[in-house]
Amino acid sequence: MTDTPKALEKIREVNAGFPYTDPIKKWKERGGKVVAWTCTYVPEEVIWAAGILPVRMTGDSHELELEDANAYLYINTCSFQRACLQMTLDKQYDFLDGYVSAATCDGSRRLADVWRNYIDNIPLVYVLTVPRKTTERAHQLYISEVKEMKQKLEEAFKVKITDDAMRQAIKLYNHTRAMLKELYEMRKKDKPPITGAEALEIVNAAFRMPRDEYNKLLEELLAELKDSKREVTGKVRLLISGSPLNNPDFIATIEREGAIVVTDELCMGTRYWWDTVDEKTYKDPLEAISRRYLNNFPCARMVPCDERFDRVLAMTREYRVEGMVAEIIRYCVPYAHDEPMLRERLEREGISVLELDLEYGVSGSGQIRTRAQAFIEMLLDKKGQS
Amino acid sequence: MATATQDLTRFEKAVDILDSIYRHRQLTPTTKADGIYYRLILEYNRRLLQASKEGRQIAGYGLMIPNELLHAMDIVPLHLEVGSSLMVTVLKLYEEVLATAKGLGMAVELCSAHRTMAGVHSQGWVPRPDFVVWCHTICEACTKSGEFVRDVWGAPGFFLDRPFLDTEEQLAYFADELGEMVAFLEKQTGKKMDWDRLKAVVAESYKCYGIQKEIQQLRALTPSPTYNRFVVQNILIEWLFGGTPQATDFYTAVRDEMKQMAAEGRSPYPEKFRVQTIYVPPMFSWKTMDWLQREKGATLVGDPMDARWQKWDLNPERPLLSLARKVFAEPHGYTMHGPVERAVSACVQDALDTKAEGAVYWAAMTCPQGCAMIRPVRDGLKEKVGIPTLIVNMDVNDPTVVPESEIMEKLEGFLETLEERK
Amino acid sequence: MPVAGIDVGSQTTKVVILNDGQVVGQSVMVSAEEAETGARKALDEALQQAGLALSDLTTIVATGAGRKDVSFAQKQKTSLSCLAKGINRLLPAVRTLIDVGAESSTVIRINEKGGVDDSIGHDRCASGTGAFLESMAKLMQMPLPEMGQESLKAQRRAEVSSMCAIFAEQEVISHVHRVPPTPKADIIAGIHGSMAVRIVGLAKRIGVKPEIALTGGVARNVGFARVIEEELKQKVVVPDNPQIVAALGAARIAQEEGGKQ
Repeated sequence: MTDTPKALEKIREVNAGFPYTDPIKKWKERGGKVVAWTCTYVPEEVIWAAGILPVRMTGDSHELELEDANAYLYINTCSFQRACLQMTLDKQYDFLDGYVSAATCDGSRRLADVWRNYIDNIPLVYVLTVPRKTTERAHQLYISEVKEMKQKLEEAFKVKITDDAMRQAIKLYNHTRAMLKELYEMRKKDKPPITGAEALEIVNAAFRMPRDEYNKLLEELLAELKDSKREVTGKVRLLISGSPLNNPDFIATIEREGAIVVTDELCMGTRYWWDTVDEKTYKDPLEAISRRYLNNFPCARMVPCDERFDRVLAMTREYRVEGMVAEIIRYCVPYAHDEPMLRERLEREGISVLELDLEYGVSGSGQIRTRAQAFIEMLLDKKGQS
Repeated sequence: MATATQDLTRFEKAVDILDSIYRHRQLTPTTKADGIYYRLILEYNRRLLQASKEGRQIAGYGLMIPNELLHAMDIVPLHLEVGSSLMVTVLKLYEEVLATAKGLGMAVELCSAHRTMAGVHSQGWVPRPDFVVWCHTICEACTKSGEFVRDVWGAPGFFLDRPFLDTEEQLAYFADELGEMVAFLEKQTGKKMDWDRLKAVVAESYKCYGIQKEIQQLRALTPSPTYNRFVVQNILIEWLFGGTPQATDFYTAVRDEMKQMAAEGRSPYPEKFRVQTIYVPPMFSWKTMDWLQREKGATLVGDPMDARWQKWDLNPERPLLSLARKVFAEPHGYTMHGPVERAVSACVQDALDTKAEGAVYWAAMTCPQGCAMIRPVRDGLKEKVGIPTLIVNMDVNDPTVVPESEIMEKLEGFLETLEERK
Repeated sequence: MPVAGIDVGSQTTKVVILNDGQVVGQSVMVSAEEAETGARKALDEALQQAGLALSDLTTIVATGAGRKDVSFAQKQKTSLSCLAKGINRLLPAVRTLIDVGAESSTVIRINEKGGVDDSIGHDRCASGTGAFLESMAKLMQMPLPEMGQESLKAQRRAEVSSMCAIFAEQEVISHVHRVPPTPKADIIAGIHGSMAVRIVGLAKRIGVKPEIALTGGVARNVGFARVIEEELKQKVVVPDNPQIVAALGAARIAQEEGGKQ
């Protein structure tokens, strides 16, 4: 592997300031408003079209003591939600002007409960209703809910969200999706130009800066990678699936044991950008946006689970995946519950699964290292025999 | 995963035990309502066994699926959560069943009731459901475990998508979802829904709701003419029979007994403390509820998340919309699924109505969404009613997580605190 | 009017005798297999100190895990009420009590009258109790009473998980076997830290109001008391004899009961 691309260094600089990154600071200094979202079922384009900077609320990229958060969400809410709350209680999210949550899973709606009842001085806390199905009737409901969200944003920030602004936002965000797709395409190679840990860093930055600036960085990065001879090698090709994951060190720990992570099924990865907004079919840009968000690569919350499983299976073929690491945050009910079923389907296709039940934010603990080592050895043995 | 093969030896054994419990109760009768309760539980399981033997269709259905729809179509119901938990409790199979679930790859943090259900169904220890309908009104685990059951039996399924709120838009969506569910049931059974019959069933259900509201008011009297066991019996009857004539029988008997006691100005046991109970208590230890009342004089006067009904607007001509509204008026449906403010207001209002002196919050350790309500509920009761809340960590089914003795110790300390406050 | 409070804990039995509101006798003994025998022995010792006979006692109140086995007590009360009553007599300004015993840790919010406003117990995990500390002492091959002093020499707290006793144990083992090993004092400070984080977390769930007292057998450990202060960022008082607080409270209740008769 040769030098780190310059654009990746810039991305790292952005991430280093998390949660109040330099680009967010600059935006605020210019008098701009910032609204956080946590779940990928919240349509960012609508927020951007209001002239507001959407940022993604996450926990920190390492494990936190969650004692303050435990006083509100008890000890058995998933540690992703508790980490978000802990940072909020530590006043690290004080720069926010609003928070748009979604009733997508119990943890998500319960975090919003705490925000509404215990976090002061925030003009807007809104919970979006999101159906769990993708039937036409469900789409109709979701469209009307997104319309209401738009209206709430307009009221809270005294702005008008125009169709034109939404169309512009769609273009901007679709451009990101196309570029991330291109980046991930490069990961299909035998020797991809980036590691799995780096890919996570790159997607993380999307949540933490204005979209036009992020797109510029991605353009730079893609240009650099196309020209470079950068090659990453690994003995086995892995996919990471599961609960929210922001910590690149976690992936780096696995990669240091000789594997390469070539793709993922994470809401901080493919499930964030996979599908694009259809710019042609729908007259109403809000409908176009809404349809994309409900139809996007599903989270384990959606029913039936088969669509997600089918997409994961398709991805394993496209990326020639040999093993899957299921990263399951304790008390992340949808992912934990689906895991046995997904495992069965993958194993039927000859893909082994390593399940790691852990807390959000952990990285290279000894236990993870040992288990990753054993898994990789097992995969290598399997290859040797076949 | 399609791994389950039906093996009813254990189920038959459970039915035998339920039968002997029922007969024992007949010999040593307590109250009429108590007798009806044991009879209904027995009949429910017997009917399943019978249907299974005769090859009749059986519907597996999850928490908060309106019983009315199955009842109106004469479908034999098998409750996914309650059916499995009941059997495991009767046969004391927790360890075996939870170990089975673990073997399937179910993380130990997942809801123990749903792990129980996964363990039982994957082993085929209950009659095979021909199809499965499920919903997620209570929690995330409901959504996913319904899928799991459908998968292990390789059975067709319908997921009833309940929206977050009861705005007009969302209620309309929910009513349409119920319509889709009827279509699914029609397809599975080859029978058509008799809409006039459904209207009658919903009207009957509305009548039962009226009785349940009456019970709620009677419980608030001082002294409260209520048995603590009602808390647990109510949960099981509501989930297994809510909206059916059996439920009406049970609640009518309960109400009549309460009226009788109220007329005599008495409670079943001398009342020393008036306590609110929040969320599902340890179902493995009815003894604790009895002990609270008989030995400690603590009557469970209010039960805001399990028994406090909100207003249900019936529209006799639109049964599906009416049922959609019912799910939002039903105590669990109202308090658990929407914003936490609803649960807080239900607890606060109930404490005020019943003059509760303290509350006990059953913190099921594998129930994240239930426990995440503790702080705001506790704050609400403290600030708006001025009463303390005891948090009891425990498991609903598994007595090894927090033993009965430890639960009792905590309750005892809390009652001393309440005494001190007087 | 002499009265007695007996606290039958899982490891030790404590007795306090009050006469006209004054402590005239007290004892601490290792709990016997049979709670009643142990309670009787401890009571005899305290009676001897007070120069009294059993028949002189007007009321006896038993508390603690083994309280129900003390058949000669007139009344049984849970530790919760007794701790509150006891600390209220020793240190009336205390509003938050943290009690860490052998098998439980409890945080109690107390009002001016010595009544319990709110309380919370440990959540089914050994990592915040005396038993945990004892097993750690074995792991460190150090007598339990020396742990506190040793930890004061620490330069920094070694990292020890506060999430779970099993993880904590693994981490302590790896600190001991590290090359070079983590200094003993740092590891112990880390162990205390992991317990303190957990217990203070518990306290935060019901809110912490000054003044704060630390009681129970583990309170005798000065190093632990210090990290509790560090975690709370507030001063914590440890009464002279932190083990006997519940027995004292039981004796106070006995006194009040006597008054009623």
